Amino acid sequence: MKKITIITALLFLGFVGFAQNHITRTGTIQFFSETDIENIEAINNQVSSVINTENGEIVFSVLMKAFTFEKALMQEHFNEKYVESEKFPKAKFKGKVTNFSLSDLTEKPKEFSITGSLLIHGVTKEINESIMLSKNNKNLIIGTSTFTVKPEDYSIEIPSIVRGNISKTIEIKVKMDYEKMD
Amino acid sequence: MKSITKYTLFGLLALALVGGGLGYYMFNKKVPTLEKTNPDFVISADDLFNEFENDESKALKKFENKIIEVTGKVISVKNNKFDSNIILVAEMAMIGGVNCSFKYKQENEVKKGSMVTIKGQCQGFLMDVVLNNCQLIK
Repeated sequence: MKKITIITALLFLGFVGFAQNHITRTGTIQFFSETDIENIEAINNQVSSVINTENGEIVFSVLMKAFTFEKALMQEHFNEKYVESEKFPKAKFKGKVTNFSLSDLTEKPKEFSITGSLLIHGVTKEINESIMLSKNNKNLIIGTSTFTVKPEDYSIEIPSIVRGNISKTIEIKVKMDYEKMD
Repeated sequence: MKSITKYTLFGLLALALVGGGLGYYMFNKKVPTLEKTNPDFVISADDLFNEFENDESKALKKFENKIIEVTGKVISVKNNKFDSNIILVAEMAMIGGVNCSFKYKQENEVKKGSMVTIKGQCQGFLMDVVLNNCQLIK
């Protein structure tokens, strides 16, 4: 077993050694739903993401169950009734930052557009959003993005009895700080 | 007759109050912390990571949603505005380990390289084994 792990590790090393990758395993995704009846907010600070700084390719991977809510009942409903996280445990995004260039990044955030496919609840959609990228004094690449999704676009059914409590569009806030992988 | 109606009404009212109160309590109940929960598994960060890397679906069946007390060496500490992450290294992993998320910002002296024991609920596997709602044991 050890042998296999070492071989896999070496292959992986080779793969990442040539590509210039920056990585985070503690990225944050927050979402908000605001209605007159109640506000719902959840946060996940264990998002994994890799950006290839040579061509701007970017991937995100997140465990739906790792979203934490303030209220226990909300968290239970989210997992069991809406996103069905037993059946669809991960959400993923795979895409590209258009015209990405590492040398263009400064401490002042610059807007880029990002396109790719977003997989939530077993449904994949092409999205096109904007992302702000900057580089801080510790040489981390900071990426932030705010966009909205509609639950119905991802076949997430909200029962009519609580439809008034949940907003039709959910605001999603993403914050990543990528370290260089050597 | 009259008094029976009165008692019935009073009974119903009491029931409605208790029911409503219970409903309100359930609705507002916070996600509980794991402070007083006993762990289902006590394991090292290396062993936990290896179980997931060797067979993710088997490890998921065993560990998902379970409370795990894990001991390992700290490879990174990150404090956000309101919450914190501590990542424990797994010896056999290239980049992976055990990713522990704390709901509240940690005001402790945990440093990179120190050995810690953390209790948390296992939510699955990305690059790391993901534990959340964590508590620092020592």
